[in-house]
Amino acid sequence: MKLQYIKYLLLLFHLMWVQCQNNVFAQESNPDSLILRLKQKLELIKDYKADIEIHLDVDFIKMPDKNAKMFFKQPDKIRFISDEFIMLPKRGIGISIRKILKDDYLAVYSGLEIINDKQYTVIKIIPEGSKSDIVLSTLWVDAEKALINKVENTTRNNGSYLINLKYSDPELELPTEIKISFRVVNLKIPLKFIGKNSTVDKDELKVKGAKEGTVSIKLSYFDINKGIDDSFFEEGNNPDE
Amino acid sequence: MQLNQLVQNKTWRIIFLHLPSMYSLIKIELYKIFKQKRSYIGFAALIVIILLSHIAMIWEGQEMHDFITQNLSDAFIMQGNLVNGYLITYLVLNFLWVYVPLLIVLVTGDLISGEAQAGTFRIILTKPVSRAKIITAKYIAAMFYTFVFMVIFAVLSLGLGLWIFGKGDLMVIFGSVNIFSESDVLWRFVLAFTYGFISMCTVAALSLLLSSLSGNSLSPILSTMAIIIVFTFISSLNLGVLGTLNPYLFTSYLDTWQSLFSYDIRLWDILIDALILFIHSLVFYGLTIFIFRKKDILS
Repeated sequence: MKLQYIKYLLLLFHLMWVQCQNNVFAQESNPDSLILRLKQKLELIKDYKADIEIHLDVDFIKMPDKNAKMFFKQPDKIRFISDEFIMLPKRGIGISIRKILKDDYLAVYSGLEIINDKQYTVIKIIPEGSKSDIVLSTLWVDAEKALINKVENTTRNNGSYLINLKYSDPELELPTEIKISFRVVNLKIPLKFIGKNSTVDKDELKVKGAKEGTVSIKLSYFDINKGIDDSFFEEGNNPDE
Repeated sequence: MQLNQLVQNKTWRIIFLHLPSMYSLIKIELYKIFKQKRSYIGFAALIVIILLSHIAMIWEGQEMHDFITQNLSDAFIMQGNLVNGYLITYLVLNFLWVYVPLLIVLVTGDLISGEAQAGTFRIILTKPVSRAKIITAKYIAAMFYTFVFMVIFAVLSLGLGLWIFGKGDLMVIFGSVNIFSESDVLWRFVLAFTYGFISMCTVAALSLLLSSLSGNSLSPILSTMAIIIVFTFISSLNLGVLGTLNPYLFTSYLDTWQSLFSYDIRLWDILIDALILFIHSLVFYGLTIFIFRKKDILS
């Protein structure tokens, strides 16, 4: 009698586990609920101000690490203020995933991927309509926390770029480090203009067609959702437009 | 060491005995240089060129900057004041570098031949002063004039640039697009102008050597410029056999100051280049003494 009871109990556990697995798969294979959670999370951040540290790594540009202030307001307003000269790649700075998710899109579940011993749900987003420069956006999402870990955007004319996001502050659901890998195509600099013996290899640039680089931005937020007036961004950059 | 002990020492005795007369000779040479109107033509030309360059930059600076960075701005957001005093000074340095030797040679090329032409050597050489001392005094006076010229060049171009355009990071294209922080720029300019002084001393020394060979004022000025133009032309061609001559031409070392505006500064290489120029100056000085000692003063 006791053995029979244990058998039923084991069968019950097995059925529960199978059901649980089915639920998880159903949830993961349908990206809509996860994207809805993502959107809700992104919507929570109306605006922020942050001190940023920029580290640019491109072999034909040598620049020391720079400090600036970054201002952001939904959906895609960005402005940088710095006493120093700063240089940032145009592609990727706008974290334009907010913009993509705001318009019509088609989301496709692309499986699970393990990065650094952590499992991420991969979702491909295809924006509908011809307005957006981005034709395909692949998101690596931490489904448990509904946080985007990696984004790969493929643009209509300018190749693709990769954005890696790190969240080191557990109380903050905003990235504390953004690393953007980008490509610069057909760069031409008037070499003879400054510097008599300037020796940037133009042929090399032409042969390879593109130069790859990365920019790492470390963010320390000091004001979140405190409100920033729209007029503040009028003189600023809106890089992803 | 006591004073009488010092005087016992042969080297010090030579210095003690010869310094007052040497000092007087240098003072006389400097007086001659700064009394001539010609000496101020160089300063005036330098000041006018620097002023004009800065005035032109007020209108053209932004456009020039946009032209340089137009391709970069397609791919990058660029923010900050790049059209600043440091960039203007760097541009002025590049533009003026060709003309500075001419302005210096205008004065230094005349120091020996001018006396020969005026016939004043006959009077000077009746004094109990060696010919080597006279040449040494002229060399030191020429170096002092070059120093004053370079100080005016540096102070005016940097001072005026910073006053009109303000401070900021410096962007230079030298091997790559180099962006230097505002705090990392001034020492580069100080070293660049110091190197410029060493290179202009070599030019002045060459002009003095040619001046010792000539009997009129114009020839050494023109021949110094001709040598610089021909040597620079050979250096810039850098082809075949001509290319192999480059290490032996002093003009190949005149623009080494530009490498101070790169990220991987090879200080040792810069020092060696400066040393090569200094050795050239010493050789020109030695040759000038040798020629002047043997020279018959006929005029």
